[in-house]
Amino acid sequence: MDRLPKVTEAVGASVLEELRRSGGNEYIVEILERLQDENSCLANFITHYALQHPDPAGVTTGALLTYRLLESQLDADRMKREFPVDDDS
Amino acid sequence: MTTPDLGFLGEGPFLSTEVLPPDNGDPGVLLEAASAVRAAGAGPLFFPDAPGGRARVDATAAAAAVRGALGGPCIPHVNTRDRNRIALQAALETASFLGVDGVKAVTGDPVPGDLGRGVYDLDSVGLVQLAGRESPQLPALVGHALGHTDPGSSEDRLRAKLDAGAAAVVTTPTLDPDVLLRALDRLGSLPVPLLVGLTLVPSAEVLDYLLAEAPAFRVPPGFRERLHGAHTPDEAHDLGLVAARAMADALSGRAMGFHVVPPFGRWQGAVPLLEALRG
Repeated sequence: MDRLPKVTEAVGASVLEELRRSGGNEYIVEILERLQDENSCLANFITHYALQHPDPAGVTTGALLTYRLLESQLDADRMKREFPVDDDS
Repeated sequence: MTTPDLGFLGEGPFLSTEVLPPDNGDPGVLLEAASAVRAAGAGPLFFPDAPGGRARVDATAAAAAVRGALGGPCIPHVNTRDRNRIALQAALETASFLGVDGVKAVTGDPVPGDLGRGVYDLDSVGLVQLAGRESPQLPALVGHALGHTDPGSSEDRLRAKLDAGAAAVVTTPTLDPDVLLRALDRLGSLPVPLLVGLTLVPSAEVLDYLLAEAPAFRVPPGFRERLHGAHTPDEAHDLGLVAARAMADALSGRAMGFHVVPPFGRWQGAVPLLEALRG
């Protein structure tokens, strides 16, 4: 199994751009809805602990952005295996 | 010098794709994948050789198994990263022995982390030369990242592969036809068939990573902004299909075939693109 990836600046900037384009809330809600389908235990964990915090929206956003960053980087790393670094691989 | 027979490729244009050999001993998984992409329109099938340094069923054995079960052109990759010169010669002899239609000579990406050490007695150019000497009936195709950000050295490298006897060139995927057309114009007419690589980009985040990290991967003007503006994964998927289709249309007079690289190496990702290109 792959270890959790190291998030690159390219992916970080891209996730940030997606967040800004959507005005923030829409992007976060989409991630949460998808997480509830794909990884409901993690989604429940995030919402449960966020609700116990004075800033539940901030906690939720931070947790979901972390998830999205790792998920995107994992996708990017897997995809890049098809795009060799060397020009004849 | 014996010229390898590329008749198995047909007259073109054709679609080809890659089938990742399984990481277990189940031939059913391999044949299911090969059958599905053939049904979607793929002719020649390529079999990556331990991509990313991850061990899998031997690519030549996988190619031979599919060729035996389904027929049609089957071409394993042979990388020089995992074999010394003796093992490379053996790999070429095995490919001839098992009756696959050719090999794609690749150097192979560096082995990540603690998985092992690369050998690199030869690179892909050396492997093509070795094939020409030791297995002259076996076509040795090459991959190339045409449209690289450093076109001078990239195109010199391609000329070296052609001089070594490469039987055909498969470009690594890109989605900007103008970059590829300009590179082809600089090179003049290629003496061998060209297969243009295409793929689907699954998300805006992956696209941005590829644009930063894969030096030959380009997209046409406005594509990045459109992908970032996609509201759903389906919308992003459709944008990718349109871009790939446009790329194929623009290169149709220059390419003998279009080579679909499945996103994440999963054949399921190749099927919609093959179907879209088949029209």
